[in-house]
Amino acid sequence: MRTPKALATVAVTSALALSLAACGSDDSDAADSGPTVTVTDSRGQEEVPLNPDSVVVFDMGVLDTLDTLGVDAVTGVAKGGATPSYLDKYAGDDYVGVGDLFEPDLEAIPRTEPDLIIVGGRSSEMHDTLEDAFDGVPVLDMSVDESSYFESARANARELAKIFEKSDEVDEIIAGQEKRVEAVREQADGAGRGLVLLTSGGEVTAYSVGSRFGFLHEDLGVEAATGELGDQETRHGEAISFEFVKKTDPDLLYVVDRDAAIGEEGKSAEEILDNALVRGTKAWKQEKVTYVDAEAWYIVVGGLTSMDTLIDEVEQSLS
Amino acid sequence: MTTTAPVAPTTPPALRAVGMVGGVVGLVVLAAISLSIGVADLSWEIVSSSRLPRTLALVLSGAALAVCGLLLQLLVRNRFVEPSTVGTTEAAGLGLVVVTLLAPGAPLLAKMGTAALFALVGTWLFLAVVRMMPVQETILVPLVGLMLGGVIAAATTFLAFHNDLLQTLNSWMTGDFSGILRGRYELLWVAAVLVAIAFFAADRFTVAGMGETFSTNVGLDHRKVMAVGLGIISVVSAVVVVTVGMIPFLGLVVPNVVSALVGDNARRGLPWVAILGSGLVLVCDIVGRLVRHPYEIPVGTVMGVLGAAFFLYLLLRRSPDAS
Repeated sequence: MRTPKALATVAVTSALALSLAACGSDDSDAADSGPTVTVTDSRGQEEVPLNPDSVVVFDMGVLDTLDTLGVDAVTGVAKGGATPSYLDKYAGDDYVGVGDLFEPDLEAIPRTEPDLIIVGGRSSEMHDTLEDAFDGVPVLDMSVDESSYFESARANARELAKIFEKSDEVDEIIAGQEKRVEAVREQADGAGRGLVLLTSGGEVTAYSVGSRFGFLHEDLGVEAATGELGDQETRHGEAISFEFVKKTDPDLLYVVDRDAAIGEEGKSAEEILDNALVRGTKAWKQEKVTYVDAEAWYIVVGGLTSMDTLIDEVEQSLS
Repeated sequence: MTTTAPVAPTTPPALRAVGMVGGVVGLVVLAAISLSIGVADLSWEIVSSSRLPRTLALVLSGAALAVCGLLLQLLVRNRFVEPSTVGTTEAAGLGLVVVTLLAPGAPLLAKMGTAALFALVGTWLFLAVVRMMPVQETILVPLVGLMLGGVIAAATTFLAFHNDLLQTLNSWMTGDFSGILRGRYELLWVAAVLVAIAFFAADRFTVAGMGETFSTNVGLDHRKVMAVGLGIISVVSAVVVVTVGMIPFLGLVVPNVVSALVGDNARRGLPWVAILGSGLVLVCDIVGRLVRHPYEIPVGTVMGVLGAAFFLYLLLRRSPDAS
């Protein structure tokens, strides 16, 4: 198997050697101030300082992973509504608000004197803006590839752990998760067909293989219920009627209440789904409707703790 | 000005009656098609809890929005306006966002009431701006309306953006009947009642459409008629936005077609406006349900495409001899 620690050591030493060799010609802060490590993000490879003192995080999944690993170098986070409740300490005054997920606050970021800035997912579009604005500060794009959600999220976690010399911890967590995923896959085999619905403002969209919630089928092994009706791949989710839910007649229903995810108490998902058509489905009759943790499913993408939640919820829905 | 039809058609009454019967039959056929299209297999339960409510919602909101378009055109004395191009609908949307932020758990009626109030203020604002314009050119009035609507929509987007409501706002504002079930559209009957009132007051609106001086000369309280008309328009817009969302251009397209067919008499035109309005929404929703079956395309999107094309056609066709 992989030996990330050894790899990291090699990377660190070679980076060190390189930066020493290039001394004088390389004027970036990172190279001047100490050892660096080569990290692979979704855009390629990036040289970042080892154990940086000040990290600005725009992605909730990254924030989740760093928090889970016990990293305390985060000084600035994206604020503005969508901070998940289990990470709410980062919404407090101890952390500089550096904008929101869609727009960086370029005046607030320098106050953190960042050594490293991390974006991903919703915030990945600001990558180039940040790179231009903060010369010499590496910007990582830790977006999760949703078509191979778990694999991509684990790779990101390993890369992040490398920066903070937490590779042993991350390997232990991932090994534990992999074991549980195996168990869930076994349970899912023969447990019936599952369908993911997202409710928002009284309307319903369905998700299947290849979508942001495709991990349910691809990683956790729950058979997709939509295959026989339309095409298997509904990447972005499709607007559907309640008749669609009745006709699909899933054995397992997973409901993401989008309005709850963003902290708005609108019509709750239960209220929207409690109607004659949905009540007629196998999932409803057998009480196999799971109202999932919308923060873990929708807001935080690929955090170590949020993935724990996903696995937990699907595990419970199958037992 | 623009309120007089270019040519008042002199269709004989007998022919008009035949046409009306044809229109009603066409509407019934469309309704039957709408009842027969869906994802689930046909059964009484499906018809009564899903298909019939959806079809009724389509008919009611189509008729109500088209009638509102005609009313607004008469009251503003301009053929190129309708609630979604003068800021009424946008204001209703702003009201919905504001009430959602201030009182998330408010009952549906309170939400509708707030939306209606905002719609009223938005429409009033538009009329006030139009009255202040030195030259009330035919094309300028709807442009001012579009700009006003844009400003209101920008404020709504700003509010929604800062409260992470952007996608929710989008799903509210896009006209969509996919969520309609028994128990989730009944508010639209309020709109139906208001449309019925408009039928009774049809002659007054026709006279009001000839201008304030004329109305006063023949003994009509112009202010009162305006107030009733604006009230109807605002409440109907709010009801439709709250239950199904925004259906653009409907109130523009239908009255223009009808006035080209039967002239500008509101009493004669209203039944036609209602029938064609319902029919057009039915067609758009049927298309939206069929194109990506079993998934759906919102009716607002389909109507946006059809309506924008027609709006353009109207502007281009009439521009040389508009006034």
